[in-house]
Amino acid sequence: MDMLDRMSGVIGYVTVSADDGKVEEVKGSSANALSDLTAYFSSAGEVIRNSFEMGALKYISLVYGNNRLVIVPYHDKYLGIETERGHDPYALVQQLGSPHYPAKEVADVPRALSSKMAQINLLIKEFGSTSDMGHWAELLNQSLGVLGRDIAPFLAIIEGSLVFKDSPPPEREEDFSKGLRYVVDFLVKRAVEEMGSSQARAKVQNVIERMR
Amino acid sequence: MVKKALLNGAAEKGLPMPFAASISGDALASDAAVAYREQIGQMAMVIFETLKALGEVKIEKIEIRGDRKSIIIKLNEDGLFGSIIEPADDITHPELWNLLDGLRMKPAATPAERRVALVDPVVLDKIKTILGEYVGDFTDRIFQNQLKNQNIKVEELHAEDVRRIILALSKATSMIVGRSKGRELSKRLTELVK
Repeated sequence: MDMLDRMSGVIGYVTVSADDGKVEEVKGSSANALSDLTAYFSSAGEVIRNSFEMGALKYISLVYGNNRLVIVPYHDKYLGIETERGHDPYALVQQLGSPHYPAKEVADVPRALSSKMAQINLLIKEFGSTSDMGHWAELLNQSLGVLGRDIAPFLAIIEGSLVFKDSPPPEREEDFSKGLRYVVDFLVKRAVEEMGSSQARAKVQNVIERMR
Repeated sequence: MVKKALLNGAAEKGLPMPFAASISGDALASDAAVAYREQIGQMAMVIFETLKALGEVKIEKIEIRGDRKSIIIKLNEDGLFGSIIEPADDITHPELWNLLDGLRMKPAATPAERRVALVDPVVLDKIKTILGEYVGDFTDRIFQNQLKNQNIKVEELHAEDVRRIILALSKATSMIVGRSKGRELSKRLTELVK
């Protein structure tokens, strides 16, 4: 489901088997229980669809807090895709079915933000070089969900690197800068806790050197 | 329980086949939706059972879209209101949601009743102070993000909101500093509001 990684406005997604409701894949930076929501509501939705003779299920949309979960039947699975509340579920389903997807323009990112992004990616590589890279990618993912929730729909982790999948709105540049700064602070703090201050400092120094 | 006349009134305004169900299981169909009365009761039971199993997430709206019919549902603390749309359009027009939003299980509370039902927002300061012991410099960011994420209005704080923010903060803390700390925070915050 790599296309969902690049899809505009997607915060996170899960795939659940249509046969037994087993969760197959969870991705993205959602702080909500997407797996449970998708598994329970896909099953409830099927019961309701049959009872009302609604025809083939196109999607189920749930709105909670600031988010929306769109559950879509996809081959022998259900996809549970979390977006921001205002996202149009019909447009999302259309995008999924479009043969032209995921061809899209490259995001236009201000220099200050792309530099911050590069710093995060270098930190992940540097911290992960002596331990588990996956562990650091997961920490990045979680910190985005918790500390960068307002900017997360614009971002994706693709092949271990954080990227912009959409251009950030110019008027929100400061929000993005602040959100990414929190992520950097969190990663550095975590490195100090996990590997001690001298090793963490040396690794941060390496990143600074590489960014010059 | 809501009156049938209310549902019929919504139908006259253009809401297709309105219905309602209380959390106790009583279902009511407008005249237009009467053929589906039994299914509405079953559906309400399925939805409430599903919500009970999920616990922590406060679902506000549900839309189930088939290629022949679609159903839109708005949930509140007493039950649900919904509409059966046949044939299903490609999109659900916003005015249908607006008509659903206008339906209420009971008359709106008076300002005095509303004040009684509210929780003193001071509790949020106490929660934030304890959160700070776990997440340090990230306290403000996490606290504000979770208030926003849960759509909680500080000036209109209910006991249910406090329960939800505690769950959300505990989960966020687990993601940042580990599960055992998240559980410990949850226990302390739950004790605080007991």
